[in-house]
Amino acid sequence: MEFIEFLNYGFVQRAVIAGSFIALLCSILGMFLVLRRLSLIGDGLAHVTFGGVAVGLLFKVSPLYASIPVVLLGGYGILKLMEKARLYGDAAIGIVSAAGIALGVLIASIAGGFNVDLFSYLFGNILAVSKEEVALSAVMSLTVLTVIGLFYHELISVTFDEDLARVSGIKTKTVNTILVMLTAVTVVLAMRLVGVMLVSALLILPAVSAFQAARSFKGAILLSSAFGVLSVPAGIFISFSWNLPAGATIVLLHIGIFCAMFIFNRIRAGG
Amino acid sequence: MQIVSVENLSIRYNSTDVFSGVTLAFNAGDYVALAGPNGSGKSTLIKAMLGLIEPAAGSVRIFGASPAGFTDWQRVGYIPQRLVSFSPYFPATVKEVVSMGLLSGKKFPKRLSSKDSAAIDRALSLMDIAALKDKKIGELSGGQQQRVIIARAVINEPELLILDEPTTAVDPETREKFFGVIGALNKSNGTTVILITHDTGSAGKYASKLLYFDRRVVFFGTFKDFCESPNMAEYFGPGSQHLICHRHD
Repeated sequence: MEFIEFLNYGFVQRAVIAGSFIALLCSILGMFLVLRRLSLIGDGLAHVTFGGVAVGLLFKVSPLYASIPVVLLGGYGILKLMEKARLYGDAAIGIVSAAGIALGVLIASIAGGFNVDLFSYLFGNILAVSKEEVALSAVMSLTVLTVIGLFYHELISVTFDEDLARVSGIKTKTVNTILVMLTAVTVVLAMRLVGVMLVSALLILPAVSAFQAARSFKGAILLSSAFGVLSVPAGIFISFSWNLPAGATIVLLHIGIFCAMFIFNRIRAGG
Repeated sequence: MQIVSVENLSIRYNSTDVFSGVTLAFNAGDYVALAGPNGSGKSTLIKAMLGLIEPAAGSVRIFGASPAGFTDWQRVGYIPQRLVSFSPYFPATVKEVVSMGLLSGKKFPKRLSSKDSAAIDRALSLMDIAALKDKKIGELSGGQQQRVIIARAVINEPELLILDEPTTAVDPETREKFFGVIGALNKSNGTTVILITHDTGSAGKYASKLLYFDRRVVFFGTFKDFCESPNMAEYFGPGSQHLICHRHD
C-alpha cells in the first residue's frame, strides 16, 4: 500500500493527527524528565491512569476524562511524598504507581471485570481514536505546549541544578509542580496511543535518542520532537501494512532510532 | 550596611541540631573567608542564608528581607560546593548555561534578548572561556566546567557572592585567575564575598576577614585580630594559629 493512499483513510488521519500532537508533547517533556532522573514517572503515572480508567468504566464516564483528575492527584501525591516524606523520586513513583494499579485491579474485581475495554487501554488502540479525542488531544497538547513555552527557561534552569535555580529567584516548587502536572495530562493522552504499559517509552526514547547527537538544548528539543512526531505516521503505516499492533510498533521504531543514534554517536566520538 | 545577617539561627536535620543560636552579620564590601573542620556546618550556614534550608529557629535577612520574600536575586551570585552533577549527556552549551545566570533579573515570562549577548560574552571572556561557548558543558574538563559555573555566578556583577569551595576541582592557573576576578569585584565594585575554604593558610591573601565556624562562631574578625588573639592561640595552639597567619601578608 502506498503511504499517500493509506493517509486517505479517516481513522488513519485521526490517528496520525492525535498521535503526532501527543508524541510532540512526550518528546519535549521527556527531555526534562530524563535529565532530572524522573524517567519512570511516566510509567508510574500510567499505572495510576489504569486506576482512572477503571473508575471511568465503573461509573460509565469516558475513561479519558475520568483519568485526568485521578492522574493529576497521583502526580500531586508523588510530589508531596518527595517533599514531605523526603522520599527519593523512584520510591515515591513506586508507591503511587502501586496504588494506581491496586486501585484499578480492585475496581475491576468489584465490577466483575471490564474485559476488552480495559485491555485496549492497557495496550493502546490509536486507530480507534474518535474525532472528539482528536480535538481533546489537540487542545490539551496546545495548552501544554504553551505552558512549556512560558516556563521554558525556568524548566531548563531547574533541570540543570535546583539550588542554582532557586538562587536565581526561580520558584522551583512551582516549576516542579508544573512539570509533574503536565506529565500527568500527557500520560493520560498518550495512553490511547500506546497504552498504559508503553507510555514511558514515548517519554524516554525520543529524548535519549536526541541526547546522542544534539549539540545544544534547543537542538535536543528539535531532534527529540522530530523523532517523536515522525515515528507516529511511520509506525502506524508499518503496523497497518503488516497487520501489527500500532503502539508496540511505534515503540519498537523508537528503539531502532535510539540504536541508530547510539551507533552514530560512537562512530562520531571515535572519529 | 548589613548585607546578610542571621540571628539566633538554628538548623536541625532529623531532630539533630547542626548548630543552634548563631548570630552574625556580613557588611557591604566584606571579603570573608569562612573556614572550619569538615561537618562543622559551613555549607549549611550559607544554604540557610540563601533560603535553601529552612531554619528550625531564628531568622535570616538578606538585603533586609527574609530569603522567602527576597526577589532581587540578580544581586546574589552563588557557586555550590560540588561541581554540578549534571549528566554528561546534558545537552546545554556553555553559552546556554552561562545565560541561565541572567534569569534572576527577568520578569515572567522570562526571555533572553539580544542585549543579553553582550553580558554573556563579557562573563565568558572574564573566565577565559569565550572559545568554548558553543561546546556542550558535559564535554568539558572539571576545571573548565567550574569556570562556566563561575561565569554564570558573576554575569550580573552581583553585590553578594557566596562561594562554597569554588576552586576545589580547578588547576592552579584557573585558581589564581578566579581569585583575581573575585578580588577585583570586591575592590572595584564593593562586592561582598563569602568564601568557604579549607585553605586557611592562603585565605588571608584574598580575604579581609576570617569567620572560623565549628557549629558555632569560634572567631569572626580581621586576620590581624585573629593573629593577635590570645584566645585563638589557646584554641588552635600557637603553631596552628601561625600557620593561618604567616602567609596572609
